[in-house]
Amino acid sequence: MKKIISMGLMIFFGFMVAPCHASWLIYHKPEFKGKVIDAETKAPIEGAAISVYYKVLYYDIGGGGTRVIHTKETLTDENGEFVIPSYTTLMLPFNTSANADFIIYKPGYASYPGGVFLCLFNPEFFFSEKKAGSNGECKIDKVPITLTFGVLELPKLSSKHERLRAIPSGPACCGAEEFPFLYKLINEERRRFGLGEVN
Amino acid sequence: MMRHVKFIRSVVLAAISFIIFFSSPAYALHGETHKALNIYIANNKLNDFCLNTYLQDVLLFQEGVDEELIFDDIPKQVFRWIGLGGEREDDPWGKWYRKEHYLPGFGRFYRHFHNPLTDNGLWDIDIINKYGWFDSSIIWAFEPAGEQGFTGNYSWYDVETYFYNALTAENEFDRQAYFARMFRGLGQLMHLVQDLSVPEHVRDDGHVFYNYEFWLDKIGTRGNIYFAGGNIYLRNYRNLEETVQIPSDDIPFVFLDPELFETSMHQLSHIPVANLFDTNTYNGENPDDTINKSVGLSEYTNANFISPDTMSSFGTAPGTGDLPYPRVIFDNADSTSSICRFDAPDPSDGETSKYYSKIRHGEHVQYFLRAYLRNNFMDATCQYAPETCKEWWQDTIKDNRVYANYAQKLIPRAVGYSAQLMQYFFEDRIRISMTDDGFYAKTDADNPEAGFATIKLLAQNISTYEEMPEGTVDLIIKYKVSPCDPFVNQDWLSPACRTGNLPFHYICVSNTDIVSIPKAGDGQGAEMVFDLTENLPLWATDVYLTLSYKGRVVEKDAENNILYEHHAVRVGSKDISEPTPIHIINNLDKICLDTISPAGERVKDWYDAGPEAITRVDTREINKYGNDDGRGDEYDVYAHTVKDLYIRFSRMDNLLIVGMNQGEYHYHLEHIPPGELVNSLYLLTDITFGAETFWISMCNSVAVAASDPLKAEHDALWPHFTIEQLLNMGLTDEFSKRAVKNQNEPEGRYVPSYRLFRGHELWGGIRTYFPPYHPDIYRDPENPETHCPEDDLTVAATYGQGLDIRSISNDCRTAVIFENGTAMERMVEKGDRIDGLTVIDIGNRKVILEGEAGGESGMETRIILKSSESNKIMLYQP
Repeated sequence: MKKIISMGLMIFFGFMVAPCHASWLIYHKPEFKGKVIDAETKAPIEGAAISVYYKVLYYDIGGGGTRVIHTKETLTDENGEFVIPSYTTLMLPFNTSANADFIIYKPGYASYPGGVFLCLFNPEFFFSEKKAGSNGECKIDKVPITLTFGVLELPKLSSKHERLRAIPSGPACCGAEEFPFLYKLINEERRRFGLGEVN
Repeated sequence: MMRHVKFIRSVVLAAISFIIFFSSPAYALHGETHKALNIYIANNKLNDFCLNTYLQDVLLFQEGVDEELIFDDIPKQVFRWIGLGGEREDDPWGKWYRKEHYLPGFGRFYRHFHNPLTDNGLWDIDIINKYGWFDSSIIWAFEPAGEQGFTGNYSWYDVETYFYNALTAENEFDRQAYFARMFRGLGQLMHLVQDLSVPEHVRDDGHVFYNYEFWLDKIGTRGNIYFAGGNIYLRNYRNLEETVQIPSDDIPFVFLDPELFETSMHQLSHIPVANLFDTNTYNGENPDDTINKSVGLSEYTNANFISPDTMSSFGTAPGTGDLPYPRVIFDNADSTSSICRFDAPDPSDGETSKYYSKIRHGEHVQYFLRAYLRNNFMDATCQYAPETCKEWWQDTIKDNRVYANYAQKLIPRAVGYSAQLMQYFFEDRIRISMTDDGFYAKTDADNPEAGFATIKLLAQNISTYEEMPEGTVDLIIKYKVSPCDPFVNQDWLSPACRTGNLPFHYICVSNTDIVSIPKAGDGQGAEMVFDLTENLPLWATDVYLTLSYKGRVVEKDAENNILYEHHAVRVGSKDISEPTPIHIINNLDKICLDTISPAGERVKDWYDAGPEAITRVDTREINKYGNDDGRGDEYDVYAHTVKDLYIRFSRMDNLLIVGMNQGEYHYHLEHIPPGELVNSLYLLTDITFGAETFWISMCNSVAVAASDPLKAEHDALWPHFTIEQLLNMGLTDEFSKRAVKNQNEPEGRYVPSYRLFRGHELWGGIRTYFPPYHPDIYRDPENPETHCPEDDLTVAATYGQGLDIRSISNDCRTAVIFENGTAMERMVEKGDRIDGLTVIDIGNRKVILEGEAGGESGMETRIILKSSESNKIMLYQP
């Protein structure tokens, strides 16, 4: 009986939520700032794509998950620096704020995420204006790792294999329309190795 | 009818999903954890299975998991397709609808549940079960092909079908599309296994709000699993500020006992791989068996972990009903309880918290539950008179330390078990080998340009448990066509001769007489002959064979009952040689003479047989043993025709002698005039780098060339044996040879080089000649050469200098390189230059150089490779 009630409640809430286009929670992310440098030479990397996608948590019977509600993008300047303005919007019921996530890519370098370890720091925390310049530390198997918030060091790659693997696949939500800078760089790299374009 | 029911069912589910989620104009990202886990599995060797190696060795993907496949105009590398499957099992539509609406799984995720105690899925109530709306994930995973519906067909049988279609596709477009779907489907099946490591998914808990999956969510706000640099990191439950990398000695990946793949143990599927889900070992009364024995992942998770809605505080008391364990009784004195409460300081706030450990009934979990101290503000009195508030404990698993502890137990199994699903799918179960002939195919000596019309091979079922008694057997030949003549020395590195970017061609052929593949224990395997629908061209390079079996697979369970998988797909592949020429030149128009004059002047050299050679041996002034009678009666110095040359090939492990009877030879050449080259014989055989791979036995008789003016003179002086006599006396000639390897590999290309012999470029050239004439019966101790140097008839190839690796130091810092051009050995390290090339890396059994390619003359496969991209040259240690 409990299961029938439980299922009924789920469906009831579902119907109730369906027409609720009016949002009732505020979604806000602050400005993000950072700097991208070569891990070995510490030289700034100009022209790296900084692609940000803003996510909310949603809930469903299968376990729920995260979904993207907005995207922003920019390129690093000659100093390797970037700024992503703050973003505020309204959320739907049964959604809660999740972190903003990043893709950072420059052909010839390891990309984020996947190629760079930020401990377990949330990237939005890592690139938050308030934290910029301060040090953070975590431990991997009890070995301390120190990072400077806001400064992302990308290791340089040399082989074709490494470079192709560093090409980010991007979140399922978004393609060249949402991230034109990112996909421009991706396709430049793909053409360099004789591969067709993706969008 | 069944299809209609399922369609209606799906539509109803879709409607519910749509109503619930229509309101959100957003994009789905659910499944990032599955995606990352799948990519990790695809890129790593787990349980002695490496997908990359399998793809290169068996499916013949040159780039392995990095090979790009295009499906639906989307190019992705193999490992990304597998990752995509991890995402798409929840969200089959992906970005197609990102602009319009978020469309959830249309019911797919409703079927990601399996309760091992009831064998039902989500919402285990009669009406649900009756119509099978939320079937167990075992049923979902093993739906018949094409039955999952409009969210996409990615059941085990669908994926096997895509596999078969890919293997037998006649063009590259279809092949890539089917392989892409196969890899995506595998990723989706792995997702189903991974879900069994989530307590909610095995305890019938339709989890809506914050739960373990959210906590785990990759890089999420509360993300506690992280993938970077090809590694998996988890938050450490012992110290939440630390991370631990898995696998480690403390946290190894866990796999199902391989012996449990012998037979299916679950009634919902007849395929043993379903044992990854549920082995029917745990029955609700034996939780200790979930750690003492190897069991399905759903059994382990169900018996040892709880979810928010299946603990007592929510109303369903564990220990009753169909979820008997863990037995959550909040009384340390109760020995029937699975848990025990203890105090643990929380480093984040210094407060002492109360946790429960799971101390019995299966797995031990240090942080199993947390108890929060709360005030009962709902009590009316308490609201107005705080001093009357009653403190009470709320128990929850929604705690960082608890979830981190769960993750360290469950993630290693999620990885291990889902990796095993892929391993089982791909397990190499068919071995291809040569028959006793020592080759797979040979050309027609009268028409070699036609290529190869027939492939003959041995096939063995090498699986441990399976039998393949009835099915369709297809042979797929994969190859490229060389743009340059592959049987002469070429500048293989020139753009005109490169094959790296050339497309593969495929020949797919069935033999309806072949329906089964015998087990390895039944002998060498079944001999199979395939008449090709189109000939394999003589200029083929990069030749690979793949044998596929699609049909019934028979296995025996403990009671010896025979179980069937009706449309299983099994494969085996082999990289075989490229067309290998058997060059034969009749050198009997040349004679080696080692003469010494009365004055002691010694001359050893090659001469034209006939008058010139007769003069050399008969003239006493030149040869102190000559008799100046004008006849060549001192030695047989006449040109000969090779008569009845019989050639037989065989394997190196089963050497066979040539004979004249049918079946005892492969080629019979009746007449080879002196000085003539035979270049019409070609084989497809095995290739083993640096080693001989096939055996040649041959026998021939000779006669003076009909055109020789001294024929009568010779016949009077030198009788010869017939071929029958030679064979009876066992005077056959045997030797081993290497086959040609002329193909691209991930780091470069193998190319052959041919030896110039008397103006001909020869591979394994066979020369027949008499022993040399020696003036003395005792050889000159200062000149022990027993024959004229063969090189005197050889023109050195001008292809350049050659380099070979003689040794590499254990630390891979130095290598000893042999320069063929100078016949010198030299030790090199990174940065050194040798033969105009720069050493840029030294690795395990290989040295990488950069610069313009060198070359080498000789009869062996060239070792030098060159990448089309990087101008690098790879030397491999034989």
